[in-house]
Amino acid sequence: MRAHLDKILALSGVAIREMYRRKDFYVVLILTVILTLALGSMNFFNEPGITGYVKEICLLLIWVFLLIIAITASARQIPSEIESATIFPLLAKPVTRSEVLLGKALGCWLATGIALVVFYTIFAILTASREHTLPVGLLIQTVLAHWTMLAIVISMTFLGSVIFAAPSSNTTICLTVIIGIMLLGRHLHKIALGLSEPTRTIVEIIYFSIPHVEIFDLRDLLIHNYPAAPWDKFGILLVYGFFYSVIFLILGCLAFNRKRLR
Amino acid sequence: MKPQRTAIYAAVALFILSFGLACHLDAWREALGQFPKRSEGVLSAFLGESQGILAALLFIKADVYFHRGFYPSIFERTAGSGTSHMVSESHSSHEEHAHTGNDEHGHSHEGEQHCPKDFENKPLDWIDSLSRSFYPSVHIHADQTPQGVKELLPWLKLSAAFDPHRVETYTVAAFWLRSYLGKVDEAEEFLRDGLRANPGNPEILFELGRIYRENRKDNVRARNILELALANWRARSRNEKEPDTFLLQQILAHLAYIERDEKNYAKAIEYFTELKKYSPNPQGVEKQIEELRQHLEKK
Repeated sequence: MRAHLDKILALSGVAIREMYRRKDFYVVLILTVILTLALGSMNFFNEPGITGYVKEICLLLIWVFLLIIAITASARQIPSEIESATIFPLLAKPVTRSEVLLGKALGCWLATGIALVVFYTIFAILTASREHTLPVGLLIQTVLAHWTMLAIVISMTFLGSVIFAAPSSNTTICLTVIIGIMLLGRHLHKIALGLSEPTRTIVEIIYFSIPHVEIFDLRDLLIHNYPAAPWDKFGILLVYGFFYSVIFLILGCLAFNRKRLR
Repeated sequence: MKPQRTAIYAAVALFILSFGLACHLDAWREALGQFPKRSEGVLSAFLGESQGILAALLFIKADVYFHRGFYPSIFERTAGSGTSHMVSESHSSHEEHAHTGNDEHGHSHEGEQHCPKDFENKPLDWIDSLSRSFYPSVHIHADQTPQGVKELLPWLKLSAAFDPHRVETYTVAAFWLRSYLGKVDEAEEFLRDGLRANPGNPEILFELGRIYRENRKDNVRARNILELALANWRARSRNEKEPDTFLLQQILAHLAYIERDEKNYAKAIEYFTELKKYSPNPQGVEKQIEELRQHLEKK
């Protein structure tokens, strides 16, 4: 077990280094800071202390950019190894295919976690400088929920990367599915109730089987200055996210083990 | 060398010709009057008709902030929930309610007033139940604190920037600015921006009249502005099948109160008599007229 874990951690370190050598993260970070500062400097009716719109736009940028970074980075990990044939010397070493996939997925998740901390630190500084308060509990919940949501997204993208032929198609499909769930996931059951059979049952099956990534979005609580969510329910949310991530990773490992590399 | 020079001369000549032709066609197009004579700015040039949609979305965003994020989706909207409470709050005036007993929808105030955003709120399943801890699921309004009201302003200002012809944006923003934040000058300035974009608009004139009457206590200017609003409302309503009689009621009520305050009882009775025709509570208005008649007799 320890040996497996060491191999996975070593592979994840490679994935993290690879991700931070790319310029994507720095570009979106600078873009987010510039846009937020520009918006924050706007004057509305000579009224100081308006923070809601700054928080809203900053969080929207963080969500959009991190979703894109997580999906695009995860989608290219396995296909690029196969395309450049570096997967063969890698598999010639004493590592299994599952360890390769798990290591790379862990690397992507840790790298997005580091990015997440950087982004939310900037957000916290901006908010605290304008509001003179910082809801620490809720901020921690928002970061953890966002990171758990990204774990689902990354594991889903890794599953897609061993099923779909090209990273571009995988990226498009994953982005569409995630955005679709974010927008409609919460309402699918309500929609189902207004439908006739058998469509109703089909929509209900979809509703109960998809990973509800929209629940992990705690932005509205942060924007409208609500207190932190109950920690017991928050724990259930993290377990829910962990459960779906594990399912996607198991399916990904199974598919990768059966995949013909040439 | 020579053919090259000829080609350059030809290119320059063609450029001058095409530039001249473009200027001529532009002048011809303007003379036809088929197109707007001047552009309304960069936003208008780039966004076209989508400006209106964006402005509407930003206006809804302000209403979302008014409800502190608790807002029904299109799947939860019921009849009547399309009305913005942020707007209906801004339309109401305590004085008219007290005297004529009617609110913005022409209904009497009986019991608790319900927000149009009230909607069926029982969790359907365990996912729905769990998720409610992670987004605003309690119905409260931002007007309970001045900070809450402040948060509406950026969205309203942006909405006006995208669609300067959306009159509601100016009147709603002006109401919140003067009533809750005490920013009378900013409210007046914003309304005047609205008037520049919508010359003579009776809604904006009415709101401006309210500022002069309620905040600046300048009944003379308030009367002038409200009389102009009344005249413009009448001119506009001639071409409308269903004129906005609620606005008319509000203008008439304010004019009647100004005349009453200035002790022009006969004129006040005249306005109240007209108001009685449209008011859903004619008995309340009649009571006002009787009181004024008594004042007139004493005079």
